[in-house]
Amino acid sequence: MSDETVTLERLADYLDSGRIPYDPSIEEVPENAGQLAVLQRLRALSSRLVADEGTQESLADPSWFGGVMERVRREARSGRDIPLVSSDLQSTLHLTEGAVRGLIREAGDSVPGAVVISCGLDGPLAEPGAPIHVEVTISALRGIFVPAMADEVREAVATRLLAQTELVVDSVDVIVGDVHQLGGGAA
Amino acid sequence: MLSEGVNLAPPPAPSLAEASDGLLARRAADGDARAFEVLLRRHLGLMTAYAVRLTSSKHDASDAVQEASVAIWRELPNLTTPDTVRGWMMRIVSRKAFDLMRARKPSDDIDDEAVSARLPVDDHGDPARIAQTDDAMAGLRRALDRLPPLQRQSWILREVGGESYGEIAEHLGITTTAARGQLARARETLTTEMEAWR
Repeated sequence: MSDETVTLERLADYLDSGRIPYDPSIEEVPENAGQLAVLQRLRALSSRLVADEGTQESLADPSWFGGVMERVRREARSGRDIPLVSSDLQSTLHLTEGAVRGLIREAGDSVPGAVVISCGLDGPLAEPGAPIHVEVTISALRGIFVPAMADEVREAVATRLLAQTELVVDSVDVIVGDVHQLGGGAA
Repeated sequence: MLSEGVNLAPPPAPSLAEASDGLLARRAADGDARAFEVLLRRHLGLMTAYAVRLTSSKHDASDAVQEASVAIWRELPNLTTPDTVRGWMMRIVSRKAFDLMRARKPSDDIDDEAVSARLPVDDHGDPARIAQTDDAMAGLRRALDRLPPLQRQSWILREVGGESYGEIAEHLGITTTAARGQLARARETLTTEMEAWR
């Protein structure tokens, strides 16, 4: 071990910093540079090892997965209750805000090239007949003509809410929050 | 029944399978259980393998991942950087894995030297043979299995989970300095063994 040899811990910290700023006492001393390469390889191998083991994991038997999703759905964030006035059981019958969001997502997703990211309902939902404002944030397929698609989403959402709820939709704003490409996630 | 009575859940939209993690995370945060399901299925294998490496038990790993999954759903609305959701999910897995291990042995104060001392004596595979098989991965697997638990866990938390020294210390119930020490020893052993594989 020469005087120029640095500790592995220092090499690890140097790797953590993305090898910036350039440290000649590491990079230009063969022993250190060699150890640095070993450490780097070990890190890459460790991540790969767990990733490989991950692909070999028998992907959760259906009952395990079903159990998880059941707990998730039980904790569904259903939001505010929206009364249905036209029903005979008006004291008890209502839609949840979560269900309305589901409708909005479904309507938005039905427009080619659009995927709904999130939506907001603004206004006195519990007050029958009060106008409400809907805001839909979507991801647009790259290359698609956005203004026309946004119009289609607006239309689809308004139509769906008119058909399946008693909400009086005053306006639907469509915000393009993201662009995606097919098979490749966010662009 | 009535609040949930109108069944509005449509079949999975084909577009979600191709959606990015970030999009799924934002959508799940907005309350879409289907987006959450796609996200979870996508990373379940990795989460499980990570938990197995941390707990050394398939059974514990399965329980930890289940708890983590529910916690992920619950905490998603607070995630400020949805594009980094995978790393964040892995952190929740490690948190739940250590919660579980702690709950299993509440009085077992971990003495790190004692843990190493309990381990079977080093039964190295012949380094030359390992080099011959040219399977660094298999070598690493064996080397990791031989590490004392705290060293192995520190290494996995750091190098696979990207966790900080402080987070590692918290999981292991030791000081940050001790966590650094565990990592230093793991690093020392693994680099030495790795040189033997070449």
